[in-house]
Amino acid sequence: MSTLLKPKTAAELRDVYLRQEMMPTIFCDGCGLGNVLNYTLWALDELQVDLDQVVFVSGIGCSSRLSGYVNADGMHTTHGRALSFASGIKAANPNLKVIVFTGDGDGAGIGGNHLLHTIRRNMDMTVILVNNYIYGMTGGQSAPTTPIGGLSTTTPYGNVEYPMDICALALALEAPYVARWTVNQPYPPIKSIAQGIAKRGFALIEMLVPCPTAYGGRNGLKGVEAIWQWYRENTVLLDDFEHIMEFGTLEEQEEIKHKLKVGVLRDTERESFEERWAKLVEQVKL
Amino acid sequence: MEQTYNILIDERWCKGCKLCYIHCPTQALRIAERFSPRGIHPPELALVARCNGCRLCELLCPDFAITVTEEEEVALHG
Ligand code: SF4
Ligand code: SF4
Ligand code: SF4
Repeated sequence: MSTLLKPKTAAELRDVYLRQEMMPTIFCDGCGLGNVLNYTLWALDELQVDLDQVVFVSGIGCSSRLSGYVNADGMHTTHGRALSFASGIKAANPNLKVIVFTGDGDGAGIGGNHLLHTIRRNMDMTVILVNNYIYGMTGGQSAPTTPIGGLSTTTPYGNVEYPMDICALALALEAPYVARWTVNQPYPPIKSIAQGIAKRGFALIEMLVPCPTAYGGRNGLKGVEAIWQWYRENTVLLDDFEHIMEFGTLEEQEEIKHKLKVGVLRDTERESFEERWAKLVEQVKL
Repeated sequence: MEQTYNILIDERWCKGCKLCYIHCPTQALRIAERFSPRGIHPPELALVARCNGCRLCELLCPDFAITVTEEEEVALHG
């Protein structure tokens, strides 16, 4: 199916990009995962990418259900291994655009090692890693991202482990595109996901997503409004953060110091695995 | 002449999560008292005059259930 059509409304978008029979999503009320799907589709639409040239890959978990809703080829793989399947697809056919949906449990916990090495190789793919601080689908166990003190079924008295900063890991491994967003505002993540898809090399977009069911309720954020509000109050745009840290008053600095920085954390160029591989092939040809 | 808007809810997909209602910057939406066929209270446009067509509700809906449409322009009296 050729999809080089420019939808203008959500109704048109869903007709072009979604598997109607799979809808509505299985996600709970107030879950931000549907937003991630929504923003990704708007980003694809902005780029006017032919869906026949895109493959969606995911692992296991609530966020990994996302690939199944898109009317494109995709793979719903094993827990933590989405990036390995994605690397295989990209290596076999470098012309395809590969987009991975994974979660913090799937991508950074169980698949942490794959995350590390796929970034290190600089595989040309876009990884939309949804961080909701918890293993949602498997019953609310703590994840490597659960904040200190966070309550989960496996940390009923509060988590004592330091959480992992996924973007910092990607930055350390020199991924050419790294961004973090909340789902509270649609336009910045839509633009950023489009940038990530257009980027040659590894693009990591960490989406901070409210999970009212497995995380919010247990952690004093009961109901849809409370948990969405938490993300609004506890994040700060990177540009604002830097501006306040330079020019703001001590009180203003104190107020934002603990907040999570959202924005494009890096946007640079770095030769991808595919490019280096193609060069090598050229070089050793008889 | 003033541009007015309407919102269309796809009641097959709306879960009644209220995210659209919570985030509408002009508080133009309300949650209906009636039940949708799915057994939830869907949102509806309560105050047509307030809706500025910003489409935030449409972009924020996790289930692609809202579409904002432009209405035929009508002459307002007074
Ligand atoms: S358990 Fe959490 S992450 Fe999973 S669908 Fe429900 S709200 Fe979303
Ligand atoms: S955001 Fe979407 S699913 Fe939620 S109440 Fe509004 S229309 Fe329904
Ligand atoms: S288009 Fe904007 S103003 Fe109108 S109902 Fe939606 S969010 Fe509210």
